[in-house]
Amino acid sequence: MSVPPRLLRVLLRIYPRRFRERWREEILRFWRAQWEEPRYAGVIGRLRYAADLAWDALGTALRLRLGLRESSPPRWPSTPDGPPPGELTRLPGGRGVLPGWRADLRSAFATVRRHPGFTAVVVGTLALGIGATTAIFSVLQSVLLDELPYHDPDALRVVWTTGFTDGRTGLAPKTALELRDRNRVFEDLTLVRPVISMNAVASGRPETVRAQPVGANFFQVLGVGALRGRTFSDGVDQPGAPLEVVLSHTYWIRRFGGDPSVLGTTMSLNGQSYQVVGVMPEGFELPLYGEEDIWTPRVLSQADLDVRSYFSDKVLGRLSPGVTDEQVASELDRIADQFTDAMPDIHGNLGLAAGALHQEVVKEARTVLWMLFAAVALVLLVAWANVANLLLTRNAARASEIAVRRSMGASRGRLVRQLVLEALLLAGAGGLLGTALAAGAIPVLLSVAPTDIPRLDAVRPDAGLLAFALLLSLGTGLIFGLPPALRGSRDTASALRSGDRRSTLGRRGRRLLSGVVALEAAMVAVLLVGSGLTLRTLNELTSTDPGFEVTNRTRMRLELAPERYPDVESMTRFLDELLPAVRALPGVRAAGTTSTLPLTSTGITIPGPVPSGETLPENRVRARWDDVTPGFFEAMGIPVLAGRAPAEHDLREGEQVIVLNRTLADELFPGGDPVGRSVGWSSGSDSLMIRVVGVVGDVQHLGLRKEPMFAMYVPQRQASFAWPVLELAVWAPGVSSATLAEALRRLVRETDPQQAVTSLTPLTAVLRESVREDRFRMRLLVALGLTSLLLGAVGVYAVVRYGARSRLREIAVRKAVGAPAGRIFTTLLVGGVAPVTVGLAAGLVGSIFAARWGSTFLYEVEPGDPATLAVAAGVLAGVALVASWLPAREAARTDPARTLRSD
Amino acid sequence: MASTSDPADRLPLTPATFQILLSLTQGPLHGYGIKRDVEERTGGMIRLGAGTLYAGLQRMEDDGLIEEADTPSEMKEEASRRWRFFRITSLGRSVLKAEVRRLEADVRTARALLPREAGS
Repeated sequence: MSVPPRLLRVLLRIYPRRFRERWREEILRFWRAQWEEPRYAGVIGRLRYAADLAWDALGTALRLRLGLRESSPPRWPSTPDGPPPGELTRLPGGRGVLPGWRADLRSAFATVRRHPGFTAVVVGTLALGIGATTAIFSVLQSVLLDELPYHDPDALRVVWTTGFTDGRTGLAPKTALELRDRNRVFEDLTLVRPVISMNAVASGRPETVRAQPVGANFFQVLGVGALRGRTFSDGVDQPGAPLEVVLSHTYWIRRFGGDPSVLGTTMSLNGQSYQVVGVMPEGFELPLYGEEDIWTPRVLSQADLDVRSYFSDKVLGRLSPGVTDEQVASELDRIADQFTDAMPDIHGNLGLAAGALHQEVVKEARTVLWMLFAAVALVLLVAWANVANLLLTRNAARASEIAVRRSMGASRGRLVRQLVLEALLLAGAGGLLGTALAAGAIPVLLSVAPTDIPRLDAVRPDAGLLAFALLLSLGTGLIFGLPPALRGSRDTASALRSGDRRSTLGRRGRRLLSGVVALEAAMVAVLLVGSGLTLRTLNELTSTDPGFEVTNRTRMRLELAPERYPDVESMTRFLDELLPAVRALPGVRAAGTTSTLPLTSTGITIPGPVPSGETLPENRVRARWDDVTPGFFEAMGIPVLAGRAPAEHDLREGEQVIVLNRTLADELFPGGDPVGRSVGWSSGSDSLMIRVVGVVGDVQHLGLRKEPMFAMYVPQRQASFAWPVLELAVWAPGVSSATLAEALRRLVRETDPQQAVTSLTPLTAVLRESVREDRFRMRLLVALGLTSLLLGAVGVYAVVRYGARSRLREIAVRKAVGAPAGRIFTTLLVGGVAPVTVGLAAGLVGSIFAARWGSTFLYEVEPGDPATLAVAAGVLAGVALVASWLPAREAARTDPARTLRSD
Repeated sequence: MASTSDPADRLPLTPATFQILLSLTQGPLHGYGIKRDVEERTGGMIRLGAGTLYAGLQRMEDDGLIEEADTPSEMKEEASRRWRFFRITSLGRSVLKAEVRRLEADVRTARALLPREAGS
């Protein structure tokens, strides 16, 4: 087998054109002949061949292109018999006069090992920068950039109802099915319900699983088939059909160990029998609701088919080929109008809209992740700046060593090659270490990340990431190794002649160093200010009063299956059995339910009521709607400011009552007492009159940052539509949360054995969870800020130290002639602190702009907040001062006589 | 680059130049042949790569130490491969001899300074 000729021709191009033209054929023949040599046989041999060729080509090409002679040793005066004895002449090298790349590698290794401190600093710096960048990039890649694991994912859309709440509302199944029949733009539509917890019993062992009910055609719409077995049969979502379940790959491995014989067996879910029909491929998931273990059929009950009152399902659709988004929008408008005409009461102001599935999945995560990437990029830049400076100073300090090597006949090309090799070694080590750091950091990152960053479990370090890190490090080595190498190997003959053992970079070089330090300081300043702002934001958030109490309070969330609880009455019956039992538990002072717990989700927002008799205003306010049971406000510690809360005697058939929050009460009845007044939803004589019986305190529904919204509470018994979620709040001081949790679970089981408990946590956890994103941002920025500060300190220290060393003679002379040590100390100190100050000022200004860009993340603190800026500046200046002080002091203390004598 | 034809001006020779000239004293050779010859002579210690070799040959030709030769008659079968052959010039020979003398002077100096080892 012979060498691929294409590769050789490509390699040839490395040479300058004239050389290539002259020697082309010869070199090609030479290489082909070389290939036949026995030492290049076998796989190892082939690698050796490639390395030998590349190395020789690189060295020669470099030499030729840079116009360097192979060696330009000084010309010695000579006699006819040769140079006079006693003169130093060039010694032929030892083993291997023209060593190949292997010897150069060994030499580079030796050099790197000789300076362990320098090596450690450079490798560590690069590892931090490259590691951080790689870690964040891997998250970005999986979450934002990777395609969703479906067939042709760009054609997938999510359809939602507009006009009902501020967020995305789902569709009622009846509406969705009609949409499916009537539309002309979608190939197919399927229903998806939120993930619920179910009690699963398989092979005798019970556990809680997360199940996602989906339509029978779900897998077809997404275009993904089962890995084992099959997906749902048509009609599995019809009432009465035999139930099937499809497992996710992760669950299949975790629970059944990947055993294929699980197919065909039955599983009990919430007491009903499901047949396991298939397993999905690895990585298949629907990241809209969090992780799911299994998919169950979204069985359509009779109520689903008759009534439109639940907006319970999300609708996924695949566009027909060639359909544009404008066509989709106008089609949805057309169909929404049909619904409105048919059912004005229910669908009055509502419409339909669609968005790309990928958008829906990533929309929240996008800003956060890009912001983090920007922060990490800053850290990488600081790391690079450090490495550049370190390499510059180091090569300058080695000038004498380099000069000696030159005089011994080492060509400039070879020297450059060796210096670059050293830089590549350092960069490669930094990259490897950084990748290891990233691999370790990613799980930590994921564990503290907010759960609503989707697709996090798809994040894992992979080959692409390694390639990214390697490219980054090799690029670093070349970019930051080559210029210092070229510079350092330049005119060193003069260095030897002048006897100045410590060659320097000169004034221009030192200014370059200072400039880089200033740049670093600017970037560190931005990161520090960012850290400070997020710290303050988190502080402000956690000290905001949410409007309810959290001590000794527990929250239990129950998601009711619409099949078993299709209407308000059935839910009332459930609560009538559960709540008294809960209140009877020892230690329970109050307990009650609501439909949406504050700080947990957007909840239900509907057009607000108006005082009876008034005409409907142009812009009606929208108000949060909750149905509550007696005891809720007391359990949550929400004060009743006037009148009373809903009570047991507010029956369904009785007088319709309502409770307003203070903001809504002030809006509807400014200055007056709302208690006893009536409100309604439409004007005219046939409007429903509802009496206001109480006013309660405002609560932060949507988040600690937001303004309190208008909110109204109706008794659960009198709710006009059933929301299939119950949030139970229990106030039980003195009872341990574990005891209470167990008791609550037991009571739920006793009331309805098939009802799963979705979550059961202290209310403090709800509060903490609501700021999880802010906490995550804060922690990351602080970590990055401190890292960059450390790197910056190292950079300043190195530069000042180099500055001191390179001016050792000058300092010694000054001291010898009697200059006070203090002056010298100050000069050096200023040399380190001055560029930092300049950079700091620039960085502070820059941070204001950066903060403005991310201002949505701030709370109660301005981008230009003086206190934060001052603290950041103080920290940076202080650290720079210390980093400059140490080497300056050491230099000022050196004995001048010793320095001068040793020359 | 030396403009005089005084051989001593071209000293010291680089190792590559020295070895190449040495190989060519035995007769004209093509590039690959020079590489093999040097390798054999130094027992594998000096391996000339294509770039090093031809860049060196180029420079030596420019300096007048070698020149291109016709394919020797006894190698006519290999001529079908049409390698370029090189031979040493008289200037090249002079330079080589001067270099050898210089190296001998080096060795003498070194021996004078270092204690004589038994058997060396």
